[in-house]
Order: sequence, then C-alpha cells, then structure tokens
Amino acid sequence: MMNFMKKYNVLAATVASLLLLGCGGGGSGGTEAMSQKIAPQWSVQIVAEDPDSKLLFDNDRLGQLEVASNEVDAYDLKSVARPFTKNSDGELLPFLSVNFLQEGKNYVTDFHNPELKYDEWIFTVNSNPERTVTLRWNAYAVTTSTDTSGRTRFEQTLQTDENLMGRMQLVDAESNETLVSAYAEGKLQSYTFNMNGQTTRTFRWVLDTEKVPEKVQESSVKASALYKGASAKQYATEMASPVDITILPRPMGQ
Amino acid sequence: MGIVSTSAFAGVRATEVFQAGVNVKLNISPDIECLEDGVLVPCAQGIVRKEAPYDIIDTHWPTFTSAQNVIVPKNGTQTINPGVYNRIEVQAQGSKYGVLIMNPGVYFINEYIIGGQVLPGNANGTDPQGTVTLLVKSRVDISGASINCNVGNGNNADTPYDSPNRYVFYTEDSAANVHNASISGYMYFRYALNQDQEKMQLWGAISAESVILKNGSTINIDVDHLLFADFDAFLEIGPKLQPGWHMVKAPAEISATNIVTVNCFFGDDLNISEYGQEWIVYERDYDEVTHKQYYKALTPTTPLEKNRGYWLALTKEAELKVLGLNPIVWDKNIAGCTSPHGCYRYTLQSCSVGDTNPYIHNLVGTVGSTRSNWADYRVAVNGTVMTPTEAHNANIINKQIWKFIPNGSLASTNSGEYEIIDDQGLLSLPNEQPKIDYYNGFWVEVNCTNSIGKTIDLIVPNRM
Repeated sequence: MMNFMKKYNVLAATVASLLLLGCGGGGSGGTEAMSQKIAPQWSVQIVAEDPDSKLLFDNDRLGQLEVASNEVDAYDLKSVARPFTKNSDGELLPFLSVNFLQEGKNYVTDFHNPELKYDEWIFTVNSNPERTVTLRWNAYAVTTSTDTSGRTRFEQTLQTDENLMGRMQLVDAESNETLVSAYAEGKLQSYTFNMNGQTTRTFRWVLDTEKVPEKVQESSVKASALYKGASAKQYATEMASPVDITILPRPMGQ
Repeated sequence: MGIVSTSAFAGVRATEVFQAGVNVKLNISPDIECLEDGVLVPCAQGIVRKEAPYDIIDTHWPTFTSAQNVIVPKNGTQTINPGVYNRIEVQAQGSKYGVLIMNPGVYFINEYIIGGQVLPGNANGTDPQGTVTLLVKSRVDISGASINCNVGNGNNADTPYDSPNRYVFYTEDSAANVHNASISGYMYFRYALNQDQEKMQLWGAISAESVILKNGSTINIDVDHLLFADFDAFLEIGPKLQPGWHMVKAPAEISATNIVTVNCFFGDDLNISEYGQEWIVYERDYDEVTHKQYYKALTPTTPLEKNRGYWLALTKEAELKVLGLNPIVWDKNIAGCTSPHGCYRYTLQSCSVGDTNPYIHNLVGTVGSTRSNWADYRVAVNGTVMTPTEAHNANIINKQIWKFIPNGSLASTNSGEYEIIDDQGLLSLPNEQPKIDYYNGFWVEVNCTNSIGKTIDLIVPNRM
C-alpha cells in the first residue's frame, strides 16, 4: 500500500452531476433506401473452387440490369491481377480466379441490359496448370433502389428462377461444346474439369431465348477430372509454401 | 475477424490488456477534486494518462436459454467458475447478504443482479491474481452491491482495494442500475450511464458513451487506467494475422506532433530485432516528377503517415494491437460524415501535373472502430462531398476498391486475390456483413483525368 494514494486520484464529484459527454447526435446516414422498384433483373455468381486445396473464388457476377448497357460501362468492375504469382523458387503460387473478358480486359462483373433475350458472357478460369476445378453457380434476383444520396443501389437476393435458369448453359468457348445446362433435374448444376496444363480456360455462359435441353455432368466424369494431372505431393507442397518477404507485390495497375 | 475476441481476455491480466498509454486531454469538471498523497487538490484539466483506443467488444453472445441460473441467498456463500450463465443473482436484506466468489476467467451472463457481495476467487490458489471478466448481455442491477470490495459503503479513500484489475466488467444493458454500488474494477458500459439519481463508488476505471451520476458519487481513478466518456477511446486488440502479406492501416492518431513509427505501431507485437528477416513493412510511393509508382521498404524508425496504409509481410503469426498509441480523434463535424459517431478525414494523393498515366493508386485504409461499408465512405473534392459513385462519375476516383485476401493459409475465400468492393452492391451478397475490417488497408484508384491539382479527401466513418 506504500504510496498507494499516489496511484489513485480520488475524484470527488461535488457538482450536481458528473457529466461526461460522449458520443451521440445524429449522422446523416447515407444508405437508407428511399424508393424501390422491382425489375426483371438478375445475376449469377460463378463460384470456382478446388476443395482439396481449400481454394475458392466467388468475387464475380454476371447478369442483366436495367441500367446497364451492352458495352463496358460503370457496372462492369475492373479486375486487377493478383499481387503475388511465384515463390522464391520461381514456382507458381496456388491461385484460382474468374474473370469476364470484355474488349480485351478483365472484369469481375459483367452486366448487360435485359433487352437481350439471347445473351452470352465470356469468362476465364485462371489457375495452376495441374489443378482440378469445380464451377458452380448461385442465382440472384436483383432489385434496384435509390439511397438518400441519390445513388443507385443493388440488392441481390438468392433466388432460382427455374424458367430463367433453364435457359442458361455453360459452353466450352474453345470447342464450342455445351458442357452442362445451368439448371437440370430440379437443381443448379456444376461442372468439374482439369486445367490440363493451362493456366487459363475459357468458357461461355449462354442465355438462350428458350429452355435449353437439360445436360448434366455425370459423377464418374467429375471423379476422373478430379485427379487428372494433379497429385497429392503437389498439393502438399503448395500447402507448405513458406512466405517469402523478399518478393514484393506487383504494383497496382501493372 | 472479431474486433476484440473474448478469448483475448482469457488468462490475461487486466493490467496487461489495459496498459497505460500516452497522454491525452480529459475534460474534468473543475469542481472535481483529486487526492494526491492524501491531500485534496484541484484536478488539473488537460494532460492525464489514458488507455489505448478501444472498440466495441465483439462478444459473440452464446445462447442463454439453456444456461444455468445461480442464486445466492442472503446468508449464503457460493463459488462459481467461468462459463455461460442465464442469471446470476446475489441477494441481500438488511445486514444480511450473500457472497458470490467468482473464479478468474470469462463469464457470459444474460442477467446480473447483485445485492450482496462479489469477490474474485483464487481458483484454489492456482491463479491468485487472475482477472474475472464478465460480459453481461441484457440486464445489470448492481444497486447496493459490493463488488471486489468490503460490504457496507465499500471501501473509502483511505482503504481502497488495490486490485481493480481483477474485475473487468462489460455490459450492453442500456439501463444498468448502479445505485449505491461499491466497485473496485474496470467498468465498460456499451451505452450511456445517464442516471442522475444514482450514486456509485468506484475504484478503477469507467467507460461509457456518457456518464451522469448523482451528486456525491466518487470515482477513484487509477491513474494508469482512466475514465472515458467515449467507449471508442479505450482499448483495441487487433486481428490475428497469419503468415503472409497483409494490407493494413494503423487505427491510431498520427500527426506531426504525434509521431508513430513502424516500431511504435508494430514493435509491441513483433520482435523488432527480426525486422527485415521475419517481418517487414512497405509503402507505396509516387514520384511526382517521373510519375512512377514504386514500393519502398520502411525502417523501424520510419514514421507512419496518416493517409497511408501499408504492406506488412509476416513469416510468423502475429496479433496486431495499438496499445499505447493515441486513439483516433473522431470528428462529427466533418461535412458528409455518415457515422453518428464521427468520421476521420485524410487526403489522397492526386496525380501530379504532367502525369499522363490513367490512374495512380493510393494504399490507404480504414481507421473505423468496427467493420465498415465502403458505401458509407465519402470523398470530398475541393470540399465538395461525393459518394464513391459520384466521384467515379466525375472521373475523380474509382468507385471500387481492392482489398487483398492473403494466400498464406489457402483456407479463405478469394485467397491470394484482390477482393473487390463497390459502393452500389454489384458484388454484394444477401445479409452480408460489411467487408472492410478494422485495420484493413485497401487500394483507392485516383483518376488522373480530373484529379490533378485537386484536394481529394477520403472521409472514413466510425461505427454506424
């Protein structure tokens, strides 16, 4: 207890109240919706994953919005190359991403106008050459609102419109082969493939004017794709890949 | 990421968690007197010690419906261990009172009704100095209680308890009843404690949005642990970062008179003798003559800058904290601020005259005390406030930002990639949490077309 009172200042409140004003007051807010309308707008999120390596990419969206044009516009968000590509041994780091191709550039969103009854989107899956990747997709209904700052906001609600999704299919952009229909046997489908020595595979997502024939990928085909070209040793290596603090991130925009 | 994981409290002594910080101004009523060496003196307004900046505790409340109740009768004594409790009640009547001994550790409690005495336990002698940490969700009534102090009027100025650090209390009850309570501890009220008919005797520290107590209340402040009117200004334990590269921003006040170096900010979490081998910090620089952008490694003594985020490379796991630094000074008067709890403004670097590149990229970040939504940020261009979308349409900045998801663990979504966030919801998911986490750095792309010569401020919201 020596010098204990030095440690403490006794504040004896002799006023009517001890008032310490803190936070309070109002802010302007800015995100509150003022008006809302329902429009025939939708989006699809392409999810690329390699569960064995716990890699998953889902930061993308294609679809149709009333405000969007069919050219590159403000609703097409730019993609930027990942900042780290190789380790100190020159080996590719594990990676997996999806990009939409428009006018020779990469985007993570690609929205068109709903006026197009037939429509298509070109996208690439980018990953290590030996990786097996599964593509699946989520469907959303999109509503538009205007917030208090006058800004258009989009709300995306998980919703599978069977008629709409029944018109969509995944096509191999190189061979032009239809791989699977987006919706079949009462559910959203998926597609598993191997990168087959490439770092980029290109696909086309097609919205047809009418329901497309149902096509699914057989589970045996999925299984064969799963192990083609990949090995447990390679996965073990990438899981144990040490951090190299001497390799700087790629400058933005380059 | 939890802002403050409750596990961070487990096994940690309060004096370690709540380290003394540097100086800060505290507005004390001139009628309040301080006692030093037994002599009453007017409290000097101005410089006193403070805690490190604090934030909302991310409690991750458990389910209380099937949790146990503990009721100690007015003449009973009971010892309990850390855990989840739906209701803890210690009864008292007249001179009779129950005694509850709480062994050190973390308690999640739905209702905390104390009329008798509560004492920190010694856990069978294994942890005689351990801290009892309570997180109370719904209801607090400690009127007449003696908590970590003697029964009666508690202790007095001559015989205070010297272990307030053994009782750390947090509640989200917006109408906590503390009348006539005597407490030795650190009391954190998520909301205001505005009950001017109540009197409280406290040794330790208090934090609340605002505090109004009845005439005659006594708050005995440990000079190492002061009281705060703003809950934001208390303590922050940051994210646990995995080995890899991270874009971070220091949520601390930085100015010409308040210099924070690499060592100041990171050195309490990482071994400075390993700088350059086990960890390193880089900044993005821009040459205004050649218009080139490049990275530059910082030294431990390099001052951090208010308007910069940084690349932090780690070879080992680390937990970032901002203990000992001045907290962000939130300003509610910034035009365009969207947070009722204030905003923070810093200037983005614009393209220099003659730069024919389409863009330059600012590595910046949040300093907010919770997760934030990019849609709530604002851009002020020569004083004119815009949303990111408006600034995009005016060719000032891009409305999308890029946040890096480290690829060290291979276990996170979009790992190794820049995750893109926009302010209109083009990439949003239903019921999604805001994506900008405390400490997050991100890229803001400034458009050279229309930014040259303009002052472009980013207005960062505090919690909403």
